[in-house]
Amino acid sequence: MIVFSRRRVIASLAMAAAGVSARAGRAFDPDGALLAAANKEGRLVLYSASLIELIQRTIKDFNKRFPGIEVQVVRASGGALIERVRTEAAQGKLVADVIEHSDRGEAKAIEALFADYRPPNGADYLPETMASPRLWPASTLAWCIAWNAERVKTPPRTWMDLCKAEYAGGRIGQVIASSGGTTWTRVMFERQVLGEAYWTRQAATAPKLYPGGSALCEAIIKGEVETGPLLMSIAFAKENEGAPLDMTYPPEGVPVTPFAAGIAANAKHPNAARLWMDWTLSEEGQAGAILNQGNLTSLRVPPFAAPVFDPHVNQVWSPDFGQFQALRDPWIDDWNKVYGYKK
Amino acid sequence: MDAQVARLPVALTSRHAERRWVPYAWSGGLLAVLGFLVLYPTAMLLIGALTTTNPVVEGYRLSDVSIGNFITVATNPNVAAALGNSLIACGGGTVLAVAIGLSFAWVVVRTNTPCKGLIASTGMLPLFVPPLVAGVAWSILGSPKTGLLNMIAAKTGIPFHIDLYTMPGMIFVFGIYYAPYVYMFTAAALRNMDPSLEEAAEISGASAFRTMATVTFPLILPAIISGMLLSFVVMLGIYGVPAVLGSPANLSLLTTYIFALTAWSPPLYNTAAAVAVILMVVTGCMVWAQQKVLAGRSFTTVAGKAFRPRPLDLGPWRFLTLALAIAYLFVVVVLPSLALVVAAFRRFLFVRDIPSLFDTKQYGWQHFIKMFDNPLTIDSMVNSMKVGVITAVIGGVLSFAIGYTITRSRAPGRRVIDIVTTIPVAIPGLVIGVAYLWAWIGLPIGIYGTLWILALAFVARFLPDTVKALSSSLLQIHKELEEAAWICGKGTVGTIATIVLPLARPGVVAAMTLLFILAIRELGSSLFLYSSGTMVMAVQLLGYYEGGNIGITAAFSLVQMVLLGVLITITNRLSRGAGPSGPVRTG
Repeated sequence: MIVFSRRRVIASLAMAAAGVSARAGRAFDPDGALLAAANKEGRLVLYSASLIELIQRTIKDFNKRFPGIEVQVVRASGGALIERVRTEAAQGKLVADVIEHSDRGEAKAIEALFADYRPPNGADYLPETMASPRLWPASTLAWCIAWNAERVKTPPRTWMDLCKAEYAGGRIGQVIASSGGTTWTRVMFERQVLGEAYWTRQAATAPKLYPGGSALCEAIIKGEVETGPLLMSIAFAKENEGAPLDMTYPPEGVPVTPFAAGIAANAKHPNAARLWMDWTLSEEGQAGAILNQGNLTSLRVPPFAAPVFDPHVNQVWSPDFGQFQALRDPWIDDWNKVYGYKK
Repeated sequence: MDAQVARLPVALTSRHAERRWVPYAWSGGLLAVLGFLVLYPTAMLLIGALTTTNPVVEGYRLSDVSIGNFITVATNPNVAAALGNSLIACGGGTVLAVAIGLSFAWVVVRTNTPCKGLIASTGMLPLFVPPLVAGVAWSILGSPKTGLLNMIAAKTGIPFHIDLYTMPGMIFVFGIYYAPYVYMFTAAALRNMDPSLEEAAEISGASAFRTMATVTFPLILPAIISGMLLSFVVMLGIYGVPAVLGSPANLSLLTTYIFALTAWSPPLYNTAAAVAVILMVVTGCMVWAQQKVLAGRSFTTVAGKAFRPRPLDLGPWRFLTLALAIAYLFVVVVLPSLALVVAAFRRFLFVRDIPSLFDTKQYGWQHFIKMFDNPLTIDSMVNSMKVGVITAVIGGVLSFAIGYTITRSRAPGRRVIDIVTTIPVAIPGLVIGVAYLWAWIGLPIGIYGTLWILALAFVARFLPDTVKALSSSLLQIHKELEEAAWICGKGTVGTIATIVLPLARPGVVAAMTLLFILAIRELGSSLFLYSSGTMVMAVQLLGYYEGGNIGITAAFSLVQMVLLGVLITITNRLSRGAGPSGPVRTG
């Protein structure tokens, strides 16, 4: 079992960075004409449901390579973002050049608003992570177990540990199932992989419910709760800043959520948008997401192993997209009943 | 009040009998503006509640209309529970806010309590703090498990334990944070009140406190009720406090329920619109009750006689009021501000023990550096200031026009104008935001994506607040002052400019200040109307909070408080210039 502590992260990052530099040939090399056209446009507007801090990091990395292109962001929660996109598009006033969403199902529903697009390394991506040929998994977020390193002396190492009585009585925090595509992926994994009885056993520990992952992360850091399932990207950022957090990828499986990103059909800055997409989907962009954000990747062959993710122990789990869509409403209703969440 | 209004001079009609169309045109113009700002978005909201579609995307047909959303909502016991919780939390909070705000106003305006200027300025600070941050600040202090107050009490052996993740906890925080609203209304009214009435009571042998209870407070009843109503409905629409304090205890209020509906994947905007209609009904009942209470009563206290307000001499009791004011300020301002300062400067909010709380290695400027490293921070501050000023100016002018029409004229349709103006107060910002988007995105004038659409939304959303604030001031000005101006040959506009506006200046300044503050803090409608180039502070603050950056959230809040504090100081000085210190109200 590998625990995501700061020392280990630093060591892993050093190794990973060495791996990246050794593969300098995989650095992103944009088409000259595209780069010139993108620079001429000078900006792009990104609509994203990701956390603003994570977006800003990606933008910073992008601007190191392409300083002449300003990236303006509209960040909204998943539902609000879709509502905004649909409404703007209906009036012919869609401002976005690139749209990125955490819920492939929601993005698939507005597929017609995206342009045909395929990155230069499109063949390198796992087809099952794509909801549509127009939507690409620019970000791939993974679930881990996180805990307050100051408060928890015997941390939970497996998903089944989170059902143990020793963590009962409000020590565990849980994000509600209906909060979005990433959490829905995790609860689906719990029921399909860990067993039909998992929710009941886990709910018996009386976990505290939170509306989102960031709120839960903050609660773990403060000590309001001591542990819980968390997206690695959320915990990773805090852990890097010195928060008293440790994380691990459990051995039963690591649920992952590939985001859906694409270029708006009537983008005002199509070349800048294309450059952004090409870069984020390139090995260089994916390596940055792994190193700087704690993400995994949906590339068939990752540029290098993500820090402390041991492919011999940790197996990623990605939901079948058909089931992801079909099971959502009835299963979330079930989850709400089991956990006593009032919808 | 109706009777009194009926006796008022026919400001817009009798003096211009040859131009009878003017009042009609005036009312028609106001109703057209209100139709655009209020009725059209509200209609879109109702359409949303009666259908299951986005009216802009799918359009709307009669066949789509159903009461399905309402049946869903009405048969959901969780909605009834959320409604009950909202009424209890906001009702309790309002009672507390009125008790505190009114007492505070009386102490500051009508007594000779020492240092009252400083007390008045400091007491307004909670108004600058976004509700979300208020919730965070009090959770840092009063969390049952990690609250600093509980930790300090436990370590020092004091038998004290507080749990703000409860209904009483929410009532407490609502009450102390919305007391300044009541204060703003009642202090303005107290400043404008003729002190001869109190002097008469004193001469008759009444004590200071009896005078307060039997003369002062009854005379400013419109302001008290307006402040009470405003506090209640503002609390009803607040998301931040119950989100932070109620959620850990699984205490759902209507706003947190609505937010959840819009945040779920997929979002349920139409159901949220139906829940919002319930809120509109509750608020409508409150407004109706207010009008019934005030109907047929006269509250004129500013008459054509010179006076200089004289503070009541409390004798040695003034030190008791001073002590109470200091205790209040300590609880309401100092404690949460300290919590925010700790959060803004501390690397992480994990506090192992008391010595760790004072460990200087744990503190630094990192959150401020990170905050200003993000270019959106400065952009959002500049945009918010611009929107705040535009909103205050446009909203101030429009509110004065509406307030004057409602309270001092016999213009046709003024009752309708009054009712329409009140509608936005009933709609929670989280829902009206999407209604504004639905309503205004298609406008050919190209305001979508600019600061103007935000300003218009804020003007519309806070129209009831500013109109009520102004109406309280306008109701206090006696008709004889305007009559005197007319006898001297002034027209309606001249009378307003030279008599009404100067006398109502404290109320106008207070209303515009309130509008500016509300615009800076407004989150709900901003969420849907901001665009890539028009990021505002409230949205940026939510982004930091949702990202789990409590440190940056606190740092940003402190910056916002300082900005607003500077502004309030300036407007306070302006207000004082027309307020109690000068020889005013000559007829």
